[in-house]
Amino acid sequence: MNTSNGIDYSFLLEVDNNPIIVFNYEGKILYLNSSAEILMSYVKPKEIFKLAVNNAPSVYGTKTTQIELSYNQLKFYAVNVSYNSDDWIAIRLYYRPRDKRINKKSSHKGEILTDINLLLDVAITQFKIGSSTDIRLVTDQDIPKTLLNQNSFSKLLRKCLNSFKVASFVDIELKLGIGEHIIIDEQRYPLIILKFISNGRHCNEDSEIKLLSEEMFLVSNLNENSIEIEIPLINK
Amino acid sequence: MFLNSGNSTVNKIYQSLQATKELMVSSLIYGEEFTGKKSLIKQIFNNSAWVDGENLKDVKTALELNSHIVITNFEKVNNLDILEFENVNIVAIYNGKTYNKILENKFAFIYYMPSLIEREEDIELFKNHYTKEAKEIFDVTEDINIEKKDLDISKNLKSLKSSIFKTILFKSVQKEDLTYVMFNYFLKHYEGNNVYKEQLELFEKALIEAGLQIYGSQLKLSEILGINRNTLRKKINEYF
Repeated sequence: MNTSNGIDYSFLLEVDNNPIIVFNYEGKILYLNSSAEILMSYVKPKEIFKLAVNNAPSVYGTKTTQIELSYNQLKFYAVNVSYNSDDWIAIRLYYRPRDKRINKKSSHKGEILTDINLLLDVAITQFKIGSSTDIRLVTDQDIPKTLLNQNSFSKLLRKCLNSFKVASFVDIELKLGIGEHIIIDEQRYPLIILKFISNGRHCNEDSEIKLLSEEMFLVSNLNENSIEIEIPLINK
Repeated sequence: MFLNSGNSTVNKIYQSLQATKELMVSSLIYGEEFTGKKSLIKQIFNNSAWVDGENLKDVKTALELNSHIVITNFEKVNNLDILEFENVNIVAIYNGKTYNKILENKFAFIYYMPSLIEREEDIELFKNHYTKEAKEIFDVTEDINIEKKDLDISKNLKSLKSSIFKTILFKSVQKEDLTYVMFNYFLKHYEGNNVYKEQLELFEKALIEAGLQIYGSQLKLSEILGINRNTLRKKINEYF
């Protein structure tokens, strides 16, 4: 643990929304945070290493370059490359804040103000019954309540978690998406982001996860080892 | 009545369901009959409206009128489509070892209540509980040892309780109780022209079996019984 004054900086890197990857001089990954793990399911490390080298400062230090990048649904507007040794080079990619539009037609069937942390807690407790998968949860307990259909959302949580039954661990992260918004019926709402990252997953119920998300006007990104759900924060 | 289970799965189910108490979600608890599902749910959701799944009309009405509802015998609900699960706290108790896809898609949380055979630690717990209860009912003060072979868990808690009650009742029975029981039995079985010989078995078989267990040898037993050894052997051949 890299600590100074009792602060765990590696934790801060780990939970950063933006992908951070550190390579050695040969392009071998020395470190990547959880957000970078998702990125790596869309792009080869070699390509990101090349991007880092091409945008590196000419001398030891750091350099930010505005650049439009797109890897599947992941969009970035800038990269920051840093190094102070010939042994390693780090790159951080900045997510482009998204403006998504959904026409919800004011349908709020069964939606009530909900503390997502509570539902997540129950879903995890239930998942742990008869499962040896190790669950590590990083959550923002202060996320405001949002309008949700609790029954459908709980079903979605169960199905997401069940897809990780084969995995030895699941890292779950729940936080507010900084600078990310969604437009529903011409109204702009911040996003709550729920991520599940693991080392293996059953994908046979993905169509049901997609369908449930769509029914609730949520955006789901499903990958080989991860699931990301974007939930609009609506509390009015 | 619900006992704090010694089984970790049951305790986790309890904790998880407890956390759903104030949420508008649906939970299904399934498992064999008489595993204690209803008692466990009663402990947490006693203030919910309880309705039997056998009567679909009642279930539908209860769902319309209440925010918290427990549906028993959910396996008897024959038309799930007409039940609206939005904005209501529902716990459904389902007797069965498996559930289908329709139920899987209907409920938010699904719990499997293990059978008693899968909860070794609970067998001892419930054995002690039912033994105490039976001793109080039958006014038995002496220590009664109930062996594992006397316990029947084929129908989970129901058969376990029944086997313990029977064992304690039989072990505490007095001479006059026996006479009374036999009297009532004979009242119903006094037919034919060979009643004496036929019903004698009731007395003789038990008498010889107990004697053999105590004394082991037939020779010794014939002495104790005060009958001829050949007569005893003849009866043993007849009854066993």
